[in-house]
Amino acid sequence: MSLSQTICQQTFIKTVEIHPEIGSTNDRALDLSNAETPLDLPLLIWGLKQTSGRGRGSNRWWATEGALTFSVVLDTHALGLAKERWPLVSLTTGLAISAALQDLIPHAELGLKWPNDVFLYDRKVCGILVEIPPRQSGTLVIGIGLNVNNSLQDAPPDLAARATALCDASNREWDLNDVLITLLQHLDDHLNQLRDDDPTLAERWHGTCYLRGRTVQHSVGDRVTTGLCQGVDRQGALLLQTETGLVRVIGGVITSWN
Amino acid sequence: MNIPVRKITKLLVANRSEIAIRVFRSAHELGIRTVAIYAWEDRAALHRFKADEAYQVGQKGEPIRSYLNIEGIIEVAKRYNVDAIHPGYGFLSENPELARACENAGIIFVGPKVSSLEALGDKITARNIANKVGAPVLGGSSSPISSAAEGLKQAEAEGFPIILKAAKGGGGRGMRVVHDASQFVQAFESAQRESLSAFGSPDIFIEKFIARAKHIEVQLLGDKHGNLVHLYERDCSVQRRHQKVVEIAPAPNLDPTTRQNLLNASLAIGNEVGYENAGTVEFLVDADTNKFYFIEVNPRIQVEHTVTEQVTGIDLVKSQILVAQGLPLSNEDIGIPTQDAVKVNGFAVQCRVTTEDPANDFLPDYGKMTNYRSAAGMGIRLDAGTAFSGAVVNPYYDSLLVKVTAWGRRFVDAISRMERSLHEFRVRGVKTNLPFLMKLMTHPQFRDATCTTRFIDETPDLFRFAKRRDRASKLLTFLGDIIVNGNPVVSGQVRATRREPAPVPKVDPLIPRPYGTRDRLKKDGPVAFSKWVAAQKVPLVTDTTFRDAHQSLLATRFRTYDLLQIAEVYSRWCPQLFSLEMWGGATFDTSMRFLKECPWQRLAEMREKVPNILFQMLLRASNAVGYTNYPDNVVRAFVKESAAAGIDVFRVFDALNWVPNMQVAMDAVLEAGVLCEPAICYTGDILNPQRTKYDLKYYVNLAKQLESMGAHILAIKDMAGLCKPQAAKLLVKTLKQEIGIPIHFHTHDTAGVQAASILQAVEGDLDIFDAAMAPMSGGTSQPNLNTLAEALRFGDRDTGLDSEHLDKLAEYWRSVREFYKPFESESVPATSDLYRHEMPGGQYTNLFQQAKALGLSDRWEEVCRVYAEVNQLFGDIVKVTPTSKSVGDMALFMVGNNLTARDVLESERELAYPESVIDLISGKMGQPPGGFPEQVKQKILRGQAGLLDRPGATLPPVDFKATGEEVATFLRRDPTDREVLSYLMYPKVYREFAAHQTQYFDTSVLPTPAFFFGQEAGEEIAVEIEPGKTLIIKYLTQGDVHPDGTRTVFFELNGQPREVTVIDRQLEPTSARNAKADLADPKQVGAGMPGMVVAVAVAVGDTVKKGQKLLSLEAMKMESTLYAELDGQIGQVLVKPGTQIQTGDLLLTYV
Repeated sequence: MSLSQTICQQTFIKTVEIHPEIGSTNDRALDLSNAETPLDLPLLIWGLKQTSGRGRGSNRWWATEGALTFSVVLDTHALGLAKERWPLVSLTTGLAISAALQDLIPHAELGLKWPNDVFLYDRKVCGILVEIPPRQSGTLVIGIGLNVNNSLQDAPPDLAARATALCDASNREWDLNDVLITLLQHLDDHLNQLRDDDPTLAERWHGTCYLRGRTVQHSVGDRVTTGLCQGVDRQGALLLQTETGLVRVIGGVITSWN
Repeated sequence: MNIPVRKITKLLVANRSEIAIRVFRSAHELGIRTVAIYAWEDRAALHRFKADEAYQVGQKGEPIRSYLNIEGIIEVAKRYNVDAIHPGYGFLSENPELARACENAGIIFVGPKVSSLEALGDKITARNIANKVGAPVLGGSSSPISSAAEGLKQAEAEGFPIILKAAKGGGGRGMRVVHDASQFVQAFESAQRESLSAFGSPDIFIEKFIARAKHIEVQLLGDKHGNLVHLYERDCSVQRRHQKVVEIAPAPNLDPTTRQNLLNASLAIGNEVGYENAGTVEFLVDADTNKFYFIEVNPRIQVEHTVTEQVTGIDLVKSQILVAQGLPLSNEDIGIPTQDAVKVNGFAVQCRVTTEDPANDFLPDYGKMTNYRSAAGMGIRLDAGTAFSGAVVNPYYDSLLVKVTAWGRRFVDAISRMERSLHEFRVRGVKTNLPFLMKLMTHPQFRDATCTTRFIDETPDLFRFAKRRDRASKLLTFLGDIIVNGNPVVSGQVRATRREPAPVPKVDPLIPRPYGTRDRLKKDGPVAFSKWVAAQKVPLVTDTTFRDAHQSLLATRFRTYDLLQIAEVYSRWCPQLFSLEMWGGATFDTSMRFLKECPWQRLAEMREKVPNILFQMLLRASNAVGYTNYPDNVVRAFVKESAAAGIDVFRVFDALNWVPNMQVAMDAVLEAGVLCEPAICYTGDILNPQRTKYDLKYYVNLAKQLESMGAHILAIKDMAGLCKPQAAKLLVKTLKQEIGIPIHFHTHDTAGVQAASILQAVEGDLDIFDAAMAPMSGGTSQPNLNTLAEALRFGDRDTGLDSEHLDKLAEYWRSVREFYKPFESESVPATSDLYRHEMPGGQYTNLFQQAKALGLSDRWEEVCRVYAEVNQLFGDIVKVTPTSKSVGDMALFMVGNNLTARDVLESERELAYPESVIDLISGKMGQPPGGFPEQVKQKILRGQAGLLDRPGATLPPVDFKATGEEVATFLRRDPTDREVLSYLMYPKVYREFAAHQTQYFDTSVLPTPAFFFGQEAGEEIAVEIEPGKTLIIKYLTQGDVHPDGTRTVFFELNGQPREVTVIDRQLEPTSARNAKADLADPKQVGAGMPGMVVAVAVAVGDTVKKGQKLLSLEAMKMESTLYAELDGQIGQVLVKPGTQIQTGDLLLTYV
């Protein structure tokens, strides 16, 4: 059985594209979503080597071979996910990845850094980028970059202090196919929980909030807010206790934390 | 050696908070002028004001960096002629760069030499020094580990468990305990990362980890002349995650030889580096072997120096300053010519009170401290930072609020004193670790002084706290809310003007209570008691003022507060009363729903005040105190619990006089061993030969049935006041002949002639009658107790009640009634029509209000007529809660829809009958004599078969355990059986009530005017929250509205200023909620999802084409773009970049 067939059989994915080398899986996903041809969703685009993966804004995701970089194109109508809940997809995906990593490395110390990073032993192990294709109403693209076998020990020191990979935390190499399938299975479960408005989702993203209890700096444009993070509320907003009161943050960037 | 003495005249403390203040104190005592530095964020901190001069260092936004800014600090020192700098602890205290900068600037550094700081500051160098002088060092690396693999080798050689430590570390950061080889690599890397990010150094070394270790440290003090002494040791074993929590001097239970060896080793290390000034040598002592190991030297003053000062009497900070000036230890201002001069007297314990929430993993809390009250008294020393009422605890600094040091002759004295002083503290507005510290002080292991460094981590008991009640703050919040927003229960109603308390007659509480009916019941049991009642020639009296009177006149709004005030007087003055009718009926619902009181608490508190008179309740048989049928096991549990809580007489009735429905409740009452008083509800007119359904025979039959079911007393419940005087006499006389148990007559004076019925019934040999105190009698309430008692005086039926006493009680109730003005209803005097419609007293005013609300008040007469018509339509039934409600609802429905009884029976129209009507006709309330007319059933139930059996027979039993768990989820504790029953009776009402109690505490303790209307400015009230604990609350004023729509309300609590912030609900917040888009209007563009506006691509007046970009939103990093759905011109743009929006918010409009 081909790898694509295995993925389709064991996960909720209907169509698979595997690229030995690709600029960015999210770009490819957006292109496909905007094209006229109907897609059989959910669609998986897997880049074995990503040369210009996109992070937030112009941040580039440092990836060498051995990282797992892929995008999933979702049909939210088929899933039954109302548009007003789309912003929660990022946190939900983060929880799915945390759950998958917990399966792979039992007792791992994991945290969800609002709104789109997963931390493993205090270092970033995974980034998530959810995008809306411009013209395609109802389609969402979830981009995921997870450091698996690309040990960060040889990375530039400033990066090595901030990022990690599964192999660094577990002292072993991982089969990317296995990791991918575990991830997709958890993603499916979690997206269904989001659709069903499972109240424990909010408890979990609050409970695993990496920033909770830390002093956080948040900025929007040139407006900077400093506050003590109180966690994440049911609507997915980050709560910051500032000198002037509790502030709910939906957008913007977390620039630093202690 | 010739050491010059340089006098210090102006001392700067390069630190903040308590340690800065600590240093200022000693400096002041030495006549030295003091200088504080502060970060912008600390501009309101106390240390700034405790110094003679204070200067800001650094800029806004540099709360920490400012205190680390060597250049800035030296600049201040130079500019203001400072000649010495004390670094405190933390911040720059161990940084050789500050000492060096001082040296270069010609400023005295109050601390060790630069070389000592350098040698001892690095843990690896320090260990080498310890090695050199032969002080035992824990096995482990003497140089940093170069790689994980090499480290693992060393760790294995050392033997697990080992601990990894950052060479430059402190405060527990960069430390990892590793129990076996498999964890090593990961732990090493994370420790290294932490060290790198926290201290900028990747150096990690390995130490043997001792499982049961005590942390003992020795205080050293040296001068510039080569003299070095120790000031004995401290035990700092009580730690949490390597952070000290409690420190003790001297170490209790320390083996004397070990102590001496520790002291010697410390002096050897100090001498090796020529240590001067104050420093501390830290050791781990293996509790099992007494072996000790050097850890590190802290070349600075320590947080816990206070305990050493308390037991030695030596001021360490003052000594530091004098030594830094070049004086020898033998100088008389220091006073330590030899080691022998240092003596230890007693024990001292220090606790660090922090603003951390022990219930939430010690998460730092911050905000405004609304109240701060500290401890004092013999042997207590406080070293506080910014701790005062109104101080703001901000998130930038460590959370130490105050250090409490307690001294005592023995260790046990010191901790008892500490425990006492912790109890004296009151800190409100921010959470503190006080509950945790109190737990710690009382823990047996701590008191035995056998704690090791793992004690806190291994003792989960320390984290089980009794919930802090914080009653005063909660009550103030409630009062503040009522003052600003009013109590919704009285909103829109007339305001009561009476504010002074109702006059309570004085009784002597020391005189034993007179023997009352309850004493007799307890002595004789219910059967003998009932015989005793029957044997009385004189009628007994039940006072209904505590329940039915205010239910009938004031919608059951009397508060427990007003009932309790007078209860004691009843117990002393009226032991002749048969009972106080004080519970059941609507009290259960109303007390929780409107008065926010617990009905069980009312019962229990009343019981305490009146232990000698019977308490009576009205039980709606299978409906208990609710409005629907409950499963049998709920009814049984409710009766059992009510009896246990203090009810002696259960008046059980069924709204249709349907005996099968009364069986379960009656059996439960009998089983509880209290008085069972089933009631026959009186309707119709036994004097009218045309009314054959409810004739004398009917009532006699009913009475016989109830007697055979075990009744101790029979009640005649004349809820509508229909029982005319002659009928009353006939009925009572006949029943007395037919059955052998006493008769208790209850009527409502709606018709105004019911006193006559009572007097006639007494003539017929009535045993007990119900009446209400004069100011609460008449109309829809019971007849007048005061005048009835007087009417019977001087005959053979004299009740023996003292009229003077009764009138004083009446005066109390008259005053109390004034508090309840908002609940007074327009009285609608009954006409002879009453005997036609037969409406019960309680419903009479209620239905009128309902009719008014429906715009039918002008057709009131018609409503009454139709009410009678409905009664006949339904087959002439007993009308009392809940059946009366069904009849009333039907009457309003018919009048409102212009229907006649004929229309109902003959119309082909499918009418949507009121829910209560369907419930009644379908048999959910039980069966009337002869059942409901078939034709009515067919029309109203539309062919559905109704119930013929008892509803309770088919209801599945309630699972009390599961219900208890459900209640626990919102109470956040295990509920009591009574709370579970309250929830079962009224789930929604109980939930809201529980939330009220959590938010505001028990508001039933407030005087009634304050509860309904809040206080008036300057008014003072006394609130007893438990026996002997009274809050004196004075309301001062309220502040202006803040931009977020809140107001501050100012009080004086027990003479201290206190304030609370409440939302002013009458105002639209000025930070207005965004307007919502009208989905039906294509010219309004709304948000499809929540988020933040990133960019707006159009401006007002722009012409846009369909598909053109309007604006972009971002939420959780997901960007979305909103495109024009139609061509047109932009009218309004309501958002700008940065605006946070919710789904549906209006973003822009087209012209």
